[in-house]
Amino acid sequence: MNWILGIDTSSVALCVGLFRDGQPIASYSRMLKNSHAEHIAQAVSMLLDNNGVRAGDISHVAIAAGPGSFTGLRIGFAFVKGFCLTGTVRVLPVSSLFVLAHGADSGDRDVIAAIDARRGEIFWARFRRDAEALTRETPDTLGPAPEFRNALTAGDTVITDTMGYAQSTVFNFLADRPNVFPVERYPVQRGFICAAQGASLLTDGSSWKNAADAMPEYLRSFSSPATSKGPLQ
Amino acid sequence: MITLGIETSCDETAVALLDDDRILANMVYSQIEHARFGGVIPELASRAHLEKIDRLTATVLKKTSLSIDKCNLVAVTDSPGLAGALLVGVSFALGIHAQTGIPVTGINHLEGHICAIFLSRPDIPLPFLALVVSGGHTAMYRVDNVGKYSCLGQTVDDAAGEAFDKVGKMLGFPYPAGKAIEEEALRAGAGAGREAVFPVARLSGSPLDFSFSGLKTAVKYYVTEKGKDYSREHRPVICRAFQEAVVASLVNNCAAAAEKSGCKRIVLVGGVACNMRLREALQQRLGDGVCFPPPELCADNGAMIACAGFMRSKLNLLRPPHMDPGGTL
Ligand SMILES: Nc1ncnc2c1ncn2[C@@H]1O[C@H](COP(=O)(O)OP(=O)(O)OP(=O)(O)O)[C@@H](O)[C@H]1O
Repeated sequence: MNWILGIDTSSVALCVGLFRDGQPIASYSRMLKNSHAEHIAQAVSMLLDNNGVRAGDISHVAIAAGPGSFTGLRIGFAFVKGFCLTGTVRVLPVSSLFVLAHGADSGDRDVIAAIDARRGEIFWARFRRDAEALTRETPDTLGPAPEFRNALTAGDTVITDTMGYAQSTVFNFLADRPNVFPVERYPVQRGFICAAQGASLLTDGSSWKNAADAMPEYLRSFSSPATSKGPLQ
Repeated sequence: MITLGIETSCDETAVALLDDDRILANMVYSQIEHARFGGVIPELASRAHLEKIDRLTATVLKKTSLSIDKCNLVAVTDSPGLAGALLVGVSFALGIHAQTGIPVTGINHLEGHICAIFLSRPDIPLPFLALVVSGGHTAMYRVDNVGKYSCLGQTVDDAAGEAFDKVGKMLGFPYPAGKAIEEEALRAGAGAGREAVFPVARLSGSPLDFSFSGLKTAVKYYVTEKGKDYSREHRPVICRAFQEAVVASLVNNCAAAAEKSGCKRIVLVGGVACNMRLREALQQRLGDGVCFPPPELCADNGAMIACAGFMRSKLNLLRPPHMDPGGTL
């Protein structure tokens, strides 16, 4: 039997989910700005306790790997690295945009998932809905807002995430469009989706990593000067 | 009692295992990534911690042939420091806790520096004065017990190590520059080039406080006034004069604090405590009452954090980690 724990700390919601083999067991999400670290252990322990699962039973962890909040991603990954220190738990990094795309009710239209990356830039990717599953059409991309705007076609469904940034304006131009889902209004059970993705890839050994090799996909390099506040002097 | 200590507050990823106050393993990865920027880049520090933390822990466990479930306590730095960097250590520790149930305690980084002395001098009598001098802090505490500290004085601007690093940058040394300045000062030889003399700050209202930014500016003016070539040629003399000014300020305040508090035992900790000239000058002035941990326990390390955790557990002072980047002692 495989127990799959899903974790997403890449945005403002702290989300965890649980699958047993192919079967959904539980999901828990909480809106928490800037305090994922203080609550992640509690959230995971609660999820496991409530379902009679011991930490040692978890054989697989699927984690949202970015793009997203750098700090949030590191909290999730550092936690998972500690959690998996003892044994042979396998780790699956899942694209946060792929996770986000599941929040849109797109019918049979394409879904574009987009995250405000600040500084006028957007993380985004396009997915197609085939039957019940989403398949990727474009890689996760970081680009200026106009580039994202040009990539949209009339029939697309869009799901956006400002990552709790109250002054976000990059998605304002979408205001009059149909089929736009701001995640703030249509929350996504992200941890559950991570776990579901883990369940669907259980037998695909090549997708899984050792915890030590699992790292976030920041999609923005640290050396671009505006990323950091400069050296501490 | 086996304690795992984890330290990620700035630019050292450090992990150690203690059996009571005996070091079983103590490993530090100093992030070289920052050298080319001339100072610590917070985002870069956080990324590097995440890359190293689990492998370093696995190596420490392997070295000691212990498995993680043999640990009785995980002690992790949760304040003060860079928020994103602290978060990596704290989240990692919480992951260990969620898997194993081993209790986790948060440790103040400055308390960790002070507790380093219990690793080399477990029998040191209390109370004592502790001068914490590092890249981020310069402060004097009266230590009545583990967990009982009162601050007698602290820097009003730069930390002493920060002054070493900034002056080092002016003189063309890579970051961090403390050790390089000490070595360069030795090349000055006795007596030669006495003309470079820098001011030792004395703060009239609060005599136990420190100030190093005036000294830094004085070196800057000196270097600008004398010109590049002269400064390069006389770098050893400039380094010696700068170092003497820092040492005099630290030693003066220690002597004043000893006088005022009546406490003659002084413990010197933090990265700048590696400086041999400082050690020698303190001993000359204050005699046998002065002691310091070995250099590898003065700079940031995991053993000091584990030791603080061990000492706190004996006193029933464990507390859950609580992130506080700006925390004080
Ligand atoms: N031999 C030396 N002489 C003077 N300064 C030194 C020497 N060796 C190291 N330092 C200084 O010590 C500092 C590093 O100390 P440490 O590792 O304790 O602290 P930190 O991480 O910079 O700060 P903190 O411990 O306050 O968070 C640097 O500023 C470095 O230049």
